[in-house]
Amino acid sequence: MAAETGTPTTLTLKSNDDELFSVAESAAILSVTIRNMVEDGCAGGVIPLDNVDGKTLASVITYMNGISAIPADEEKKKSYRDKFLSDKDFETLADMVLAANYLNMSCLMDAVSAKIAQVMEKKSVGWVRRKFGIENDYTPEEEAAVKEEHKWTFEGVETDDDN
Amino acid sequence: MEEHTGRDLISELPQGIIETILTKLPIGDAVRTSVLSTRWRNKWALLTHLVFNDRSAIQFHDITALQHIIVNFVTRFLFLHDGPIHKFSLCTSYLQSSPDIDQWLLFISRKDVKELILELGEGEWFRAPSSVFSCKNLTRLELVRCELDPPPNFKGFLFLKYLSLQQVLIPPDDVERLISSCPLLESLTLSYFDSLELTVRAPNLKYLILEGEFKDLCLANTPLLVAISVAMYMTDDIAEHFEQSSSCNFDKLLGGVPNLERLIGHIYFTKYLSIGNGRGRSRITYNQLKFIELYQVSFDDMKEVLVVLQLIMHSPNLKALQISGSSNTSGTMRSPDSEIWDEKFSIDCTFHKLKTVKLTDVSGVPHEMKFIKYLLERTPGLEEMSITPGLYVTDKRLNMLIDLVSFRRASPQASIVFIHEPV
Repeated sequence: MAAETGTPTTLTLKSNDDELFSVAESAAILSVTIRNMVEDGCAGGVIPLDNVDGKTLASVITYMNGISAIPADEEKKKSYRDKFLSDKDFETLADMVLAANYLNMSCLMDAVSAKIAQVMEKKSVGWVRRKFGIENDYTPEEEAAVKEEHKWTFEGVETDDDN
Repeated sequence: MEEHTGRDLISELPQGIIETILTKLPIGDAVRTSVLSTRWRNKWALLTHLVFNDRSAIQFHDITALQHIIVNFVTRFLFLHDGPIHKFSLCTSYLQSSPDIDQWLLFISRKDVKELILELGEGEWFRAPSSVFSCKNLTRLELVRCELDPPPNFKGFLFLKYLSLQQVLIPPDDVERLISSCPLLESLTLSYFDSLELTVRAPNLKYLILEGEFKDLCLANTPLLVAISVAMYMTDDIAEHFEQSSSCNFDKLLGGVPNLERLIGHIYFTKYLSIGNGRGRSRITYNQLKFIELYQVSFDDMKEVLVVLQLIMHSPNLKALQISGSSNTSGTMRSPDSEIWDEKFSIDCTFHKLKTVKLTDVSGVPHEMKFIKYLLERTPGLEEMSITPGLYVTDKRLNMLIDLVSFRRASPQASIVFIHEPV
C-alpha cells in the first residue's frame, strides 16, 4: 500500500462494460466499497465494479480526482460539487446516484440526491412525470381517489413549472 | 432541460435512495409524489426523517387558516405514516402551544424516535409534555423556547449525544440532573440562561457552548472537552455576587480540561476568569490548545491581562490567538504597575508554535502595548500579527505605530499589519 512504499499507488477499476480506468488509490478510497477491498488486500489486480457502466464510472472518477485535490475546506468542496453536477442531465444524475450508492460514497450520494430533489421541488405532478419518464399507471378514477386521499397536502400549494 | 421520453429514471431506484431524495424535498412535495404512479403511492409513508418547517409554507393573510392547514397537514401525515420515525423536527413560527403538538409528541415517542427538534413561534411558551422524557432512545434533542420540567422519576437519556436548549425554562437543579443523566453526552449548548449557577458533569462531553447570565460555572467532570465557547452577560446583581466571590473561577472552569483544543470567550468571560485567580498559575498544561479567542478583554484591569498570559503560557502548542479589547476602556490611565512586565513575566517563556495573532479594538493603553511587545519578543515563529485600533481611538494611533516599530521582534519573517480604517 501507498503508506508502506511512499509512492502513490494506482488502482485499475473495471466497469461492467469492460472499460478499464486508472485512478490514484488516495482518490479511489473515497468509495468505502473500494477502500474495503484495498484494506482486505483484494485490490492487487483489476477491481471489477459490476454495477457501474463505463460512462458513469468515468464521471465518478472525474469527481473523485477533483474532490480529493481540494484540501479540507468544506466550502470549496461544496462549490466543486455544485459545479460538477450543474451540467448533468437527469439520466446521468440517476445513473450517478446508483453508482454512488453502490460505491458507498456518502458525499456524492448526498449531493446527487439533493440535486434531484432540487429539480423536483415545487413542480407539478405532470411535470415530474414528463421529466423523469414516469408512466402514470393510475386510471383516472384511481388518480382522483389518491388526490382526494392526499387533499391535505395540496392545500394552498402553487407549483412552479417554469423550466 | 430537454424533455425526457425514454426509460423511467427514478421509479426503479432502491427504496433507500428514493428515501434519501424524498428526505431532501420539502415534506409536502414528498407526500405529493404519491400521485405520480402506483409505485409511488406509499413511498413517502416510509420516510424515517420527518422535517416540518416553514420552507414550503404558503403566504396566507389569515394566520388562523394557515395554522389550521399546518396542524391538519402534520396530523394527517402522522396518521398515514408507516413504520419507525427516527427524526422528528418541527420548526414553525406559526404554531404555539397546542394540544395537537402534545399528541404528535406522544405519537412519535412510541416510534423509536432518535432525533427530536422543536422550535415553535413566540407568544405563549410551549410546555414540553412528559412524553418527551419517554423517548428513551434519543441521541439528539434540540429545544427552543419552551418550558421543560423533567418528571421526578426521569432516569435520563442513556443514548443522548447532542443536547441543545435555547431559551428553555428549566429549574437549575433539573438542568444539572438532566446533563449528568446523559452518560454519552458529547455536545451541549445552553443559551439564554439567566442567573444560573451551573455545574457540568459530563464525562464524555467534547463540545460546550454556553451563553447567558451565569453566576457561577463549574466544569466538574468533563475531562474530554475539546472546544469551549462561553458568552457571559453581567447584571448588577451578578457583578455584586462576583465581588463577594472568593473561589478561583479559573480553576473551576478550566482546571480539568487537559484535552482542550479551542477556547472562545465572549463579553465578560475573561473578567469572570480573573476573579479569585490569586496564584496566576494553572493547575494543568493545555497541550492540545491551539486556538484561543477572547473578546472584550479589558487591558485596564491587570487581573484580566494576567488571565490572558496565564492561558497562553500554559498552552505550549498554541497556533492562533485572537483578542478584542474592551470598548469602554478609559484609555487615559497611567500605567501604575508597568514594571510588573519586567519583574513578574521575565521568566523564560517562548511561544514556539504561535503563528498568527489578531488584535482588534486596540485602545493602546499601557498594558496593552506591553502585551504586544511581550508577544513580539517571545514568538519566534510568528507569521502575522494584525492590529486594528478601536473605532473611537483616533489621536493615539500614531503613538501606537511609533511604539510598534520600536518593539523588537523574535520572528524575522513576521509581518505586522496595522489595519487603519478611516474614521
